[in-house]
Amino acid sequence: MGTLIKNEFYKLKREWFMVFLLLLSLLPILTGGAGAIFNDGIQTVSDLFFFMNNQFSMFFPMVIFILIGSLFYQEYKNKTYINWITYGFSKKKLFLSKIIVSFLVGLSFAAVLFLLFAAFVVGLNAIGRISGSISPLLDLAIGFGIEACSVFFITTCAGAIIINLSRNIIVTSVVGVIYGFVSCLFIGVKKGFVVPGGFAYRVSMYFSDQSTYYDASVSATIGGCLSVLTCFSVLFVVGLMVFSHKRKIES
Amino acid sequence: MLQIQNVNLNIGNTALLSNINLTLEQGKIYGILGPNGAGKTTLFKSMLGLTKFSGEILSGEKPASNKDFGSLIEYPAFYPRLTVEENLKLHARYIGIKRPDIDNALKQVNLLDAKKKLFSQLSLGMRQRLGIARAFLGDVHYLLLDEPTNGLDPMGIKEIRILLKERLRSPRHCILVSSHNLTEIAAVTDVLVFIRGGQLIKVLENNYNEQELEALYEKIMTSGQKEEE
Repeated sequence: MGTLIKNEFYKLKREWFMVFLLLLSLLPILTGGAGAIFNDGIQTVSDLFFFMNNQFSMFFPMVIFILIGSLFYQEYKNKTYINWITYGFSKKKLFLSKIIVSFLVGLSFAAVLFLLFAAFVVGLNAIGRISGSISPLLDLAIGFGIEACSVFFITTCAGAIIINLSRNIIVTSVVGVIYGFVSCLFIGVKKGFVVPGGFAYRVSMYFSDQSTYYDASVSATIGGCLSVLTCFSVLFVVGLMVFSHKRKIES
Repeated sequence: MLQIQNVNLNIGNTALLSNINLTLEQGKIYGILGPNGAGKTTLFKSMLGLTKFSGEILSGEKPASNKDFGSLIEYPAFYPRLTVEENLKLHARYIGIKRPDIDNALKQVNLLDAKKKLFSQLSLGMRQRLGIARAFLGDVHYLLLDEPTNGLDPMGIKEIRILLKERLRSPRHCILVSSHNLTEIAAVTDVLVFIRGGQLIKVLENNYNEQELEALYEKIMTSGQKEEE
């Protein structure tokens, strides 16, 4: 598996889509930064996090969809798929290698975004643009990490299904955009914890402001966790089956 | 020795490969001849385990494994943002060669000077030659070259012919070349294998020049009688 993962990273050399995706994943901090400068309503770290996290919950699923889509699409577009599947590795391992690389890249993007956010907070605090302590940053990092991981696992598997069924990066990207928007619709809904993206957002916000969490916190937490685990398990198995299914003639 | 025994492949009611039986020996170059849709590429894909065929394909006494084959199927597919050298290194890593002799492989196909070029910067002829270099890399026994002269100009075709005939032929390798180009097949191969409609029509030693082969091809492809020599 180590060789497969290394090879997947090797294939990303000089690929511009990685830069594009990094910039796309950093959009929330750019828009959040602009908001902090031009919007007088942003006065604390929590305000800024709220602003940034709203954008993140919409953009991150898109980034992950395009990322996993591009990783598989590389093989289809370059027609290297046939070579790739005839090296003697099981399709399960090949699938997992793409998922793991997507995970490492996706989480690196999220980490860069949060580090930039932290730097921004420190900077704004230093010039007196936002008030209060910057100590909540660690709590925010935990919440943000949980959100990024939850969103990542589900959207990666969903994206893998779409790209391997359609073999079309445009279709995959469009579905990713729709997914991001639809997921956001459930953020404020009372029973929105059944949608993993909505639940992940609220968990993340809990670490910033506990009053923003669900009223029925225990049942929402259990329901949300079950929803994340169920969606992930189902999507992962379906994704693996779609990819591993041997066609009459592979092409 | 590669033994193809009772290989069949059907999609719906269409037989893509029908009861193929063929024995291929190391040290020889086989020319697979047949019109479009005859089943040449499908046969190659079956050897690589890329189809759901029934029957057996044995290398020696064991079922053939992907690792026994080097191949150039349909198109020389590489990663365009990697250099020639990086693409071969990547291939070597996949097949488990720790210290691949990339320079020698590239020298064989006259691509040593293009080692640092991106794959996207290569001409079609260079791409085909790189595809052949990759197919030969490692400890493979059988080489499947599907239309290796496709899309090449006369000079490119000549280069591939010289490459196969003078540099890459070896007692260790069994090379299968599919082509529509009878001139090339006549010049390069030892054995001719005729396929039509998924059926193996005829297997002959190649003692023919281009004109004779052209006449023979026409005769075999229009007669449609299955025969094996």
